[in-house]
Amino acid sequence: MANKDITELILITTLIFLIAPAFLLVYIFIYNQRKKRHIEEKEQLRSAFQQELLKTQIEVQEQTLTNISREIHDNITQVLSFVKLNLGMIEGADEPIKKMIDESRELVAQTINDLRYLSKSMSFEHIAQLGFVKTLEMETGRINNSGLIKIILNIEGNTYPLGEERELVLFRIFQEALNNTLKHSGAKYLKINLQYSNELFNLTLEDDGTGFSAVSLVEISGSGLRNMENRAALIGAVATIDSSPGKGCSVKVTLNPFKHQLYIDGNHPDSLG
Amino acid sequence: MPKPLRLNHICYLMLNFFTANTISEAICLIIAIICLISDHDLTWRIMIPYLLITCVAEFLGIYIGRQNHWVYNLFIIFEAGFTNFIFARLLNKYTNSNFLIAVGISLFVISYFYEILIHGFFKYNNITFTIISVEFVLYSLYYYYLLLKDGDYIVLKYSPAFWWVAGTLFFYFAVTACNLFDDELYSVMVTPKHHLTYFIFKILNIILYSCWSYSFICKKWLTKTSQS
Repeated sequence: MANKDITELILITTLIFLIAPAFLLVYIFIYNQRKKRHIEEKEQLRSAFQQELLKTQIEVQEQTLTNISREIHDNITQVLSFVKLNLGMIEGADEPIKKMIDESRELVAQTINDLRYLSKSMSFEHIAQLGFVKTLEMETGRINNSGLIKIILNIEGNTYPLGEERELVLFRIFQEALNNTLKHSGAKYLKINLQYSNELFNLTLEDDGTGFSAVSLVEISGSGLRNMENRAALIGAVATIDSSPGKGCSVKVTLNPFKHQLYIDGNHPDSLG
Repeated sequence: MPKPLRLNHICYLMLNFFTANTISEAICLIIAIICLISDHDLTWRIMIPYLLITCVAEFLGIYIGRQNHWVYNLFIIFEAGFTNFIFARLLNKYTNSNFLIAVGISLFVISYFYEILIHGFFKYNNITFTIISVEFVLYSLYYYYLLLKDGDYIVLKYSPAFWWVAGTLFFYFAVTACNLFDDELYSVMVTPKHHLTYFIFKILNIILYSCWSYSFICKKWLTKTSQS
């Protein structure tokens, strides 16, 4: 009887030995799943933090631009208007001096005008009020008048509002691209294409400048180009920058206008980066 | 009618070679050849020669019959060497395991020669086998501990290393129990010809080689995925 009990006990122990690894594997699987969730949560928190940081950076930048815009509008242009007025009040001057005063008045008037435009392009309120397309038209008009570069603006499809925040971001991307073109490319023409379709909005900027290689793209992506990509990602758009030496540069921003989602990692899922 | 009888006899003899062990080992070897022959990692490619040696040892063991203990005494050297090598490679991904592996190999060498000195080469080195079984169980548990402790997440379903260790753990954990209770289990007869350990070892072999085969398939998948 005792022998039988011992044999039974040994059989049960052996069975436990046989089954124990299975339980261990189940435990490892469950623990691994928990680890996955934990890593995902950590990643989400990190992404949310990055998103907040990016948003804050842009908000601070916008606030600064708005302050500068107000300062230009309320102070500098007012002072210049007084200067213009004072110049007009000068009487009894000789003919050559009068001519110089008139020229100076014209220059001051032109400066006031330019500053007003500059102030408007900096101001968030102004862009929100006029809308993206109108602001873009005004800005291209101003640049064309300056003679720095010839901008061709082409609009395809029926325009529709994209939302204040998105339009502001798109306008800032345009400004960044324009700034890069003027500073680095030596381009004579800049072609802007706005494509409004039912499911997609595209903003394409193409210049005929010197362009740059893919290697340089990686090297300089820390500044303006990276900025454009980050801004685009913030509104759920994808910014694609394409260039090669001697073939100009193209910046394409693609956005699904009806998908109101902010990408918490600051990167659109379709983004190449 | 001498000819058919002779043929039947040969067929009968041939059938002896086709056991659950040999079939599972042979299938595992074929899968290893298909999946690992072009693998860049030596850790995995070495599975092929090892499984080939296993199959040869198994067939030789059946061919020789009851006096086959020396075959398995010889094979245990390959088994210990191979398994220690693989565990060294797997554990070194997470931590420096050289000391641990060196201790394991030293214990194996000492117990192996001790047993040979005690009862000669023609009796199976049971203590040595128990010692390496415990070692491999501890290595497996340590590997899983390091895997869970590691910050990176891996999909265990498709992890070759995970399934290889799982097979090893299943086999050697149960084998340890069988070795410890060998005498008692040997007395339990399931059929008039076969005792319980006979069936347990068959099941364990099938589990071991199934897990290993799956791990080889996972390795192939991963290689394909990383290449495409």
